[in-house]
Amino acid sequence: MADRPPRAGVHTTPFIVLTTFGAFSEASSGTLAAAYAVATVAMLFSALSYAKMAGRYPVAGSAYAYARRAIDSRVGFLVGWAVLLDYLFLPMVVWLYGSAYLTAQFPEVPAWVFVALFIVLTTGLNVRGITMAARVNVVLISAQFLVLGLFVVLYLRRVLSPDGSGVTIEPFWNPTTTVAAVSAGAALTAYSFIGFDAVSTFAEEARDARRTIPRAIVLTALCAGLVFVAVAFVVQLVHPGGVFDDPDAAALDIARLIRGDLFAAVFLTMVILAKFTAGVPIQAAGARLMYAMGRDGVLPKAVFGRLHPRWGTPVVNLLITGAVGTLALFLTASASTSFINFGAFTAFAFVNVSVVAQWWRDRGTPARGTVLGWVVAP
Amino acid sequence: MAWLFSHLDVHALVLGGVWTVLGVVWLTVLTRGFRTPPPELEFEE
Repeated sequence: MADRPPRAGVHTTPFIVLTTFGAFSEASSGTLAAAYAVATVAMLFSALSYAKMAGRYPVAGSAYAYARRAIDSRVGFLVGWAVLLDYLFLPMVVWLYGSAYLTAQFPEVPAWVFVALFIVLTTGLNVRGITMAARVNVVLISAQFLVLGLFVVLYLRRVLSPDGSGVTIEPFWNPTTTVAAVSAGAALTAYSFIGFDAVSTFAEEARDARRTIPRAIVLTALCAGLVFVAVAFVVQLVHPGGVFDDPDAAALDIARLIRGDLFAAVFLTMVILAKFTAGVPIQAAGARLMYAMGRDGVLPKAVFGRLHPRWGTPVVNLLITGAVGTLALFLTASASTSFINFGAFTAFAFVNVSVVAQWWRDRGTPARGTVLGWVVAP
Repeated sequence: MAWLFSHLDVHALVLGGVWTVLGVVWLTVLTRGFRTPPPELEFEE
């Protein structure tokens, strides 16, 4: 198992738009739908770049591999280094959102208890190399879509009822917001898209990969963006503005507002299940990335390139990401999300640069693309 | 992309900047002052 490539895609779940609602809406001053729309456009351009590079190089490793081949091996190294930062922090952010919701529901329990539970349980499962069956994952994702759909339908009913607020354009623009706030929100919401490029890791097994994979990447980004904008629009209608008692766990209050404690309990259960089951593969992927780096001499082999003799798992690396997880006690959801986005934006930006570099490399060959498609668009 | 980058939280830019500098230092060590190519990572499917 330790030789499999890290797959960021395991992390994207439909629920993310709800669990991050408060923190992101606050940053955008209540214009979350506009923030998601801006992020979607930016992501689509990145997705087009990913699509072009995936068409050229159907190999695993994504941003790192493209930058290495199209630009330079040292630039590729630094892109991989930025991705490593992401994987160090990703489990922590997932645990942070999860424990924020638990703390909101059970304020009498100290927050560190929940963080510690997430870290110990997740790290324990990963150290023993226990993975979840793919079927369980499918069931969980389906359940998330179901609760998400329920959420949207209940919301729409409330908004459209005689004493509801009706449909307005406030989720896109309101008097208290600014272009800077929408942009800051967009910079955060990009987090929800992380992993859309994971489709490219199937490049080596898909049929007719040079044609199908690029299409799949762009479609993934587009569909995700449309769902995010739509859900953000509806939820923002029910809760206008960007002021919350507890932004990190705002969706729980809104769930209670709509349908009372029972629905809030169902919602909370889904959040905890989603965060717990997302944390396991994300931590494993990060530890495997560090293991691959150790094995290939990018990181010191004696520390990072070792597997547990009996369980075959990179125990040291798992313990490191588990230890980073304790930072969840000291950070807010939006601050830690922007840490992740730094690495993600670096990867996205360099994939765009790779496309331009590839265009330059291809000069004088028939493989060269158009200036519009390969230089202006990225 | 650059537009979104510039609207990241200032702490994220500081942390990311420090991480990048560390990466350049480590890359210099690995390549013995850029005289040898960096090791290649293998992602096996």
